[in-house]
Amino acid sequence: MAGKIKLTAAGLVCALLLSLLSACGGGSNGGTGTGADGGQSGSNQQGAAPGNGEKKDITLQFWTIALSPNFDDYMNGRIRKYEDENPGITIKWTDLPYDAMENKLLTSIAGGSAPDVVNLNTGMTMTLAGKNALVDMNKEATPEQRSIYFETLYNSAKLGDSVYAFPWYFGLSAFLYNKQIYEQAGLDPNKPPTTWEELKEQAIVIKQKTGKYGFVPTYNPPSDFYFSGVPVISDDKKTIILDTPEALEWAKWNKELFDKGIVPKESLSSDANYATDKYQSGQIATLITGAQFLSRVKTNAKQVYDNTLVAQMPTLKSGKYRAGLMDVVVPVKSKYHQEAIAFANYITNDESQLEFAKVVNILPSTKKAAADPFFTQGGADPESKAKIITAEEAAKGQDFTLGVKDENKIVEPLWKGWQQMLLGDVSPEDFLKNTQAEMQKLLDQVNAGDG
Amino acid sequence: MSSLSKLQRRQAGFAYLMLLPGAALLAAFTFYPIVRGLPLAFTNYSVVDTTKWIGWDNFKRAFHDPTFGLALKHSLLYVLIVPVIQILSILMAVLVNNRLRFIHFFRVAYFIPVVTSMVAAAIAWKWVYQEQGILNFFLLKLGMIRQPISFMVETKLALLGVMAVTVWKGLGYYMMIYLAGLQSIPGELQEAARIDGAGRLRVIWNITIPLLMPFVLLCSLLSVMGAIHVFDEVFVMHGPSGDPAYSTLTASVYSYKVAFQDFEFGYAATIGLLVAIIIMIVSILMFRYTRRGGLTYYE
Repeated sequence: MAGKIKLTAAGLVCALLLSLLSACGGGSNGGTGTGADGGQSGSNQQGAAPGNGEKKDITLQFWTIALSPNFDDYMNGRIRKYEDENPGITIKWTDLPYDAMENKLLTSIAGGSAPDVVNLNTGMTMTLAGKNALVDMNKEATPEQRSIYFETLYNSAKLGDSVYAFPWYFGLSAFLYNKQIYEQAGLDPNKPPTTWEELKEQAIVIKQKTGKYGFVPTYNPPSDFYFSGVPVISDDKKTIILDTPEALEWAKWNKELFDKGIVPKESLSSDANYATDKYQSGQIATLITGAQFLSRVKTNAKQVYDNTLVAQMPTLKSGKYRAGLMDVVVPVKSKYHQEAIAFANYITNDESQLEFAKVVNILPSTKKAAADPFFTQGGADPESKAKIITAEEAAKGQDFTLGVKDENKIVEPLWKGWQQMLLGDVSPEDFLKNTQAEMQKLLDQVNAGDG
Repeated sequence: MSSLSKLQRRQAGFAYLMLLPGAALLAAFTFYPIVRGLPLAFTNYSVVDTTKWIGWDNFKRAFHDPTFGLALKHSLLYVLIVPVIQILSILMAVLVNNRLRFIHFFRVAYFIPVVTSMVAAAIAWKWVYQEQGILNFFLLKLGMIRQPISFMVETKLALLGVMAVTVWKGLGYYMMIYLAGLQSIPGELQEAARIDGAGRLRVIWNITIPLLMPFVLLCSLLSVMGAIHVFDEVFVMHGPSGDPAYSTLTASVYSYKVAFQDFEFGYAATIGLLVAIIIMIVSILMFRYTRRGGLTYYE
């Protein structure tokens, strides 16, 4: 009897165990097809379908990332103007935190209530594009709509012959440095580094003289290699090109700094806030960050801000700068592609972006807005300087992506190998050789269609 | 049932009625997702793309996926915390079972980590582990190390660091269960043993521990389950990739990564299912080999 009771108890426990591991079962469509056109739009369809000549009565759901409440006035103003100019169309704006966007978007698509216009970064855009979830702008947007953007930025969301987003605003990094720490280290604050080699030399001096770190690297191996002059992927998207002399030089350059403790080891697994926090607390001499983040230093550490000087980013071999780009996409499950594309184009057009850039220190992705005198004028304060400096860099800005499906999966060995190399588990030479082979294997699988 | 009296039947009926809301919630939010989730393991479900039935492909992939193998290894290594956490919590329970001054304070103090949010605790521990954190400060002051240690970055230490957080967080919980167990042991048994000349350690070893065995089984089982599917602390402290270089990646975190970063919900369900099967096997074995102990009442 006791044995039976224990067996029953074991069964019950097992059932409970299963329940603990059921988290990944949510949101199922029960294994049935969810083809690109199979779902329902999240739009409230209250009138006739567009394009049939009747009066429209359409609500477009517009989702953005972390713009509210700081930019409520700007966003509401633009939306109101669009609604006035387009009678019958209502825009319902929803703002989500950065971390919540991806999951919330997936959930809504799965639940058949996809939004119509969505703000994503390029990484998220490419992942969803690889899953056939986004509208191809090359096919569905007009040449006039597409022509307003910088080509390099527009092509950031390119996959094959398709482009899955309109580029929105972007940020380029400026080089901020603490005058006081430079002076303590015996360095001339009027001579900030112009190359990464000079940055390294100054970081060594700062560490020796003050005990503080010169800078905190924010590692992004795929982009870092690309901007250091390594192709990473061939133009035909069929070959990984990572094991090159330039790559070896970059890997060794970083490893030396890491091994000698010139940069904090914690930078290997820290997020972007780590460097800002350390800079604000006066523990690090320089900060490489977007101009829009200067206000955070100003608010949190006025004394450090007052000692902050701004310079152009030290150049890497490619001569290009990494742009943190925001995109606007239209999910295929939106029922109103045409109207959604029109609104996406409106919120990213010259007028909208220029107005936005005047509110916050970001750069526009449209050619005409970027040429506005606003970006060449300003005072002597760090924020104005950062604006002018980053605007000068804008023409060389690029948001690097491999431009292939399942990019996350393909670059994973690069992230892992980079960490192993820095930690000494593998030599730089072996890291490059092994990683190239691993990435090539994954790329071949993706190109063969079974990734 | 027919042998039950009218009163007993009414009482049983009332008991089932009281169970109904909980059972309904369990059915809706636990068993229904399991039933709907299981078939996913045999599909390429990704929410946004067309879903296809792919049979055993996900299972074959799992057996050839070195990252899953590594994650599973870490999950199983995590079970090493079970004896540590159980022994320490039994000792703590014995300690706080004494009638000492301020004993209520200690009971509460030991229990505070249990009611602290794991996210808050994990973030706080990240600060503790920093190069300029309090742990390095003390180790340097005590002369135990010469250079600060990067607990969060060194691949050999990162997983141990998270394990320590799990132990710290769980001790109070198991201590309370053991305390309840200790207080359910009839005092006359221990007194009789002492009268017969048994020392304090002998009483603990021959009377207390055997009578605590049902509690040890329960706590060990919960602890093993918690260890194998550990998620929160790893995720908060080391992110969805188990940085650095997958050194803290566990099966549950990998499942999350596959689902919510790669959008491969089908494969993630397969990983979840495989881990569930492993936990079931371990649990059945534990039931089978830890039957003894506890009080047996004879009617």
